Amino acid sequence: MVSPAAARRIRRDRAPGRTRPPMLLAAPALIGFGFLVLPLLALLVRAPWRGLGRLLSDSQVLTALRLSLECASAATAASLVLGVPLAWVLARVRFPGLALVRALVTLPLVLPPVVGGVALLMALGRNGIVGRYLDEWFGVTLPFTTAGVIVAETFVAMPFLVVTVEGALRSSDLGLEEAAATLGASRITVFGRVTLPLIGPSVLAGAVLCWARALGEFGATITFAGNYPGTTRTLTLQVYNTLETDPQAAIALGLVLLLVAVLVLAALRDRWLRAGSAP
Amino acid sequence: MTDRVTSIAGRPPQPVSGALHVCATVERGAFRLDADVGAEPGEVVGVLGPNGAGKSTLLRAIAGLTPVTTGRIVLGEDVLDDADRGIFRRPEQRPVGVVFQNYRLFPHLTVRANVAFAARCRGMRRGPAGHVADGWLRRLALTDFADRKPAQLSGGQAQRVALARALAADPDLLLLDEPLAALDVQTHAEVQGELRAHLADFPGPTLFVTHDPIEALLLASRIVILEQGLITQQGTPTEITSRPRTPYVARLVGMNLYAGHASAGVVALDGGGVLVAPDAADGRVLVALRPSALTVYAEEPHASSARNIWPASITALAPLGDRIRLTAVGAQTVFADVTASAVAELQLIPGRPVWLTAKATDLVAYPEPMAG
Amino acid sequence: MAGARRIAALVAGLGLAVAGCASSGDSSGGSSAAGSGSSGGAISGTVTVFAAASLTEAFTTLAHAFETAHHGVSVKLNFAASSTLAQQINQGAPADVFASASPKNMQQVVDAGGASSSSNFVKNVLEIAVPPSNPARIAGLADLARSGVKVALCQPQVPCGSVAATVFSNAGVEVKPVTLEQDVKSTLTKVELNEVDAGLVYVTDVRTAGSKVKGIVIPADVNASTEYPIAALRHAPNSVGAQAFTAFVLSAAGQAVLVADGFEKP
Repeated sequence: MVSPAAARRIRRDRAPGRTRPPMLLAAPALIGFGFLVLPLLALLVRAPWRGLGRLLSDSQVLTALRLSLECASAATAASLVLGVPLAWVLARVRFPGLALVRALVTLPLVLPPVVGGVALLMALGRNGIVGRYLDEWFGVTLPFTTAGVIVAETFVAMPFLVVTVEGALRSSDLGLEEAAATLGASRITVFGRVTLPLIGPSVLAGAVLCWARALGEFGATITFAGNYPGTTRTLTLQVYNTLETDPQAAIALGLVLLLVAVLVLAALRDRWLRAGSAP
Repeated sequence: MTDRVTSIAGRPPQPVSGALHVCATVERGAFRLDADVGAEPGEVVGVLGPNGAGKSTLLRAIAGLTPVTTGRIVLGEDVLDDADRGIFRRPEQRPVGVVFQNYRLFPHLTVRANVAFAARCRGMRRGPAGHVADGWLRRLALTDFADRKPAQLSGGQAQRVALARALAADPDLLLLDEPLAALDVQTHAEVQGELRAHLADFPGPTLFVTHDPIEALLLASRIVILEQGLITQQGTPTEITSRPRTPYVARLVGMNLYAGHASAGVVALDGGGVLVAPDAADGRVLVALRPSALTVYAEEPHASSARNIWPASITALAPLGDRIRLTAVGAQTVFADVTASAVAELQLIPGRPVWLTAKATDLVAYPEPMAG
Repeated sequence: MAGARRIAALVAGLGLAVAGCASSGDSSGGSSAAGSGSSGGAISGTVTVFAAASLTEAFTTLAHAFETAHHGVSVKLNFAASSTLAQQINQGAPADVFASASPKNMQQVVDAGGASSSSNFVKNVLEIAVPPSNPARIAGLADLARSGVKVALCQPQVPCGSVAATVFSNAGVEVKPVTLEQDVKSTLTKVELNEVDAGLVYVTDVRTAGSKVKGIVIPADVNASTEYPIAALRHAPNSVGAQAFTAFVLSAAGQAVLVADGFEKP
């Protein structure tokens, strides 16, 4: 048995430079890398650096940024609360139709977000099969509200969390859960004291993916929640709007999204590594 | 012992737990385990069998990790399983401690937290639970490792932690799955003595499963042989080694074993050949013969006093300690242990025809157990 | 092998696209040479028309008529908000004709050098669209300002949005919409889905939506109209086709189709 930390150390020892990849792999790899990085680079090159401060201190932009961060975080929180138990059920409970349920859960991953937005309207819209009663009984309508944005983002982003956590649960050692049970741990204690700590890094990874997906969400949001400054116009929608009126500002906003993503990934990755290499 | 019992807060000292009785079947797909075994308080029962015999299934059924299909599992007054009455106690509700193969220590917890786990599950706060754990760590000489993570332990240490963790739950029954199998040869020798001592200290019944006859002989006061889901033999280590009842046990303990029909001291073997065994009672018998009791000749011996003489052909040679075990096929397959010098002298190589002799007095014949 | 061939084809395609972008003059020169520059020259190939979303039904009909009249020619239609289309054309989208729902968006293209001149071919006025059941009992513009009434409008930079702003200012009504949609068809859809109580769209949209929405007429004294300019684009890959299609829209036959859909003559 090699501890994950030790395994990482071994991998690090074989850092690049020791082996020269064959051209057949190196060439496409290089092109692939360039393809992914070029657009980001273009964004940096074309960015209106001088006017950046003015463009970004615009109150509409700040409102959209705050809305984006709040909604993505709320959607991630909702995904954790609902998605982790869902992943547990998919990974641990055997029932007829499991394969179908799993396929349905992952469907939003491949569904075009706009279609997702339409589907949400059909379900939770004012006229939707459930939304109708939300409106009638509780006076709650989701479309065109910030809650609607969170619903749309959760719908699109939660599968990322579920898939990541389910994978971790499936590959996690059932034996440890059994051992905990023989020591008197109830199933909920096993989940809290053994399962969850062991899959912790995967939950975090899933949450980051989910958050990033929610932050970039556009299609389902604009379809289901509409587009209004302050309530539903997130930064991605703002970019889309601004592109028609002021392309320079749109580039600036793109930079903000890029920066936020990089900062969050860097921060989390850092904590990740430390958590992972701790004995 | 009093110390052990009172060390768990909230549980008054209890009378020594009762005996384990298992009379149950477990069906998993095409496999069926049909077990009727028991263990008295203080007794260490070793369930010995080949891989796939159902040893782990038996252990899991007792621990509540696999439900029984029919029958009952009772521990003292406690009915753990009763298929007829629909009783199934969940694993966390059974007073059963398990030491798993590979130990299954929680990798994210320190040694102390591993051992304190059971107490924490009962709602004890971290501090008191840590004290309980420290007591067990002291007893198993693990104090120095209390703050380590399982990945930083040697095999022997990990095994002691697993034992401490199971015992700290104050179980009425202790189960061990291949307790020594995961250890290297060196550690094996160190640990087996300790483990014997710790098992002897445990007041309740202990049941362990293993595929290693040495492990069974060293640790068990009674051995149960499990083959293809059925118990084929039970007895003390001495009984098992001297009178194997199945080819599997015979092979395990290194004996030649033949089944046949005895009549007036002559046994007609199933599959051909006869053996002279004057002690054999008439009827179906098993005949056991130690490999070292056989003598090998290059030519047919005319001067031998042995009553059993037969020709055979060598098929294999393998070193076994300071001897060579050769396999020879004649009317029956037979294992014979010879010295290395005999191999050289007689030029014993695979394919060579030889003559084998065995004294009638070296044959142990006993009635064959009823099938089923 | 098939994979390699497909990649080769893809690369060739990319090369063409790059060449087309870098020197669109070459390709248009090529096609005008083929058409020998005469307006009576044979029209061929594909005519790509970027048209305002409100023109969806009328231009679909016109395109069919045009294809019938010119055998072998196909018309490719791209409908979106005029502001979006203007932006796409200015970024080098290979369009032949641009039909805008506002002179402002056409001017953006002209200013960027995408077209030399344009002609107004129709105008359009707004109407209030409500779901058939009219849940908020909308009777006029003033009702849109009531609290609790959910209104969808087009974004201010989209023609239907800027015309709506003029209408509200004419009527002295202040409306706080729940959403600003990216084009008039999205606004109409929100009404059709009954997700909003009302939306401000063009008369023509209400008419083509049929029974899916109900129209409430805005009095002529406060209503505002928008002119629809059309232009054959300067960098049109098929400039002969572009000229012919533009002429067709402005012809009596083309105007008849547009008027039938509720547009007014300019």
